[in-house]
Amino acid sequence: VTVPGRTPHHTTGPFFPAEFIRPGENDLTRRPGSPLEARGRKLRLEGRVVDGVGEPAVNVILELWQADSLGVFHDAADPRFAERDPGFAGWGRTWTDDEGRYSFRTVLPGPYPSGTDPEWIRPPHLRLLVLGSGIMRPLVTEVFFPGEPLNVGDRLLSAVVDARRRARLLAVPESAGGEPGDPLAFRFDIVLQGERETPFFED
Amino acid sequence: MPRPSSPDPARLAPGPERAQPARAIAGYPRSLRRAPRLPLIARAWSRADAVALARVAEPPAPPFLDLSRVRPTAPRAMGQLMELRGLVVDEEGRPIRRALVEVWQANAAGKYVHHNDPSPVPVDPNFIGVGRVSTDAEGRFSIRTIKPGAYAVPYETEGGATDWWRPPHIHLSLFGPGFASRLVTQIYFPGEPLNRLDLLLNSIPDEAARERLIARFDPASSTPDGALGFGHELVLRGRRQTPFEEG
Repeated sequence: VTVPGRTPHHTTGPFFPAEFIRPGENDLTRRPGSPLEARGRKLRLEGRVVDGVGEPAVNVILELWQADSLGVFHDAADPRFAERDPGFAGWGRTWTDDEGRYSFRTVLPGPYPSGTDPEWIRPPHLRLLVLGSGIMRPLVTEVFFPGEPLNVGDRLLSAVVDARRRARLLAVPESAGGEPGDPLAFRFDIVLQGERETPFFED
Repeated sequence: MPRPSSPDPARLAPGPERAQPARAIAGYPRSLRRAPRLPLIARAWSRADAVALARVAEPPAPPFLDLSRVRPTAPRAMGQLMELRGLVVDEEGRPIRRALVEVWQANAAGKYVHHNDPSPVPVDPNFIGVGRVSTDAEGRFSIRTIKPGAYAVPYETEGGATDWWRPPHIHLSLFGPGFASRLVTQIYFPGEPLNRLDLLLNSIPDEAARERLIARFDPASSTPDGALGFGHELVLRGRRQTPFEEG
């Protein structure tokens, strides 16, 4: 059997259609056409994407993939698919504005079994895929939450050996002071290149 | 409900670097400022790599996309009508059904309908060049469209005249059966002189990998109403864990 080689990646270029980023697609707490709202602790994630010379990275496309508040992915490949939260979208997309800023509304994901090693439970985390003009291959990073006990044993987080670099994968809590029940607010800036570069994982 | 099976996380290792484009390309300033410089982190694979997304596929797109007109009753756009027959497979050559394919391209004159395209090249009112298509049960899709024109790369003109022209190409963004199979790529056309000069295509060191981005001229699939036929195969990362069964 001849195993075909993978089709190589390419950049989106500067003309990624605005039509592909639909209104509300950065809100994972709703599904289109459904009256349901996602369960769990609501979370707002916002940040800025900058390039290697510190300029805002404009029109960078961000895709957010994550488990729901119960730690279930919305795919039949997840053994707990039947238990999923039907109000949760599971995937979202947005792009950065003229100042490189983005935001998502979602829920704090639950931990889940890695599926590859029974000893390894993945901590709550978000996975971001970064696409855009000049980005020849999608960049993969993960957003972790400070103080989560499972962070310590996570094989992706701990693969970032340098502690200062590792800390760049932790979302930064935004000023508290809201009412109980208000959404959690976190900041996650993405530095595409340079001394403060965000750790990206092999694609 | 039949659905794609998922790739085995243990079999999703990164492929050879020689078969992928460079991240930073001399002469392409935006890549020089946006490519990471620090080594990428090797990652252990987990369920997050094997699962697919839910929402982007709603509602599913049909397996045939017509970009040659803005509406079925509208006049056909200017340029060479063509039909691209695509096949999406995994690394074992097995068809991937229900893969969502996002498609965008320039018109016959090399102009995108996009706020980022500053070129003085005319827009064709009968051409938008944006759509979605999904693969059928055999992993196939087809796109009826106008062959895109070449264009000078716009943001290279900041420092003077550009000598980099993009060859005719169609952009594709694919959602396969898992996160690991997500692919954003471009399709080139055979025999185009600009292919040999393109900075993106030629940043891929491996010749066979470059060839995998070039569609095949397929006279047999040309249609009686004057559409030139092309065939193209897309191979997404992943191999199946177990033989697919209808569930």
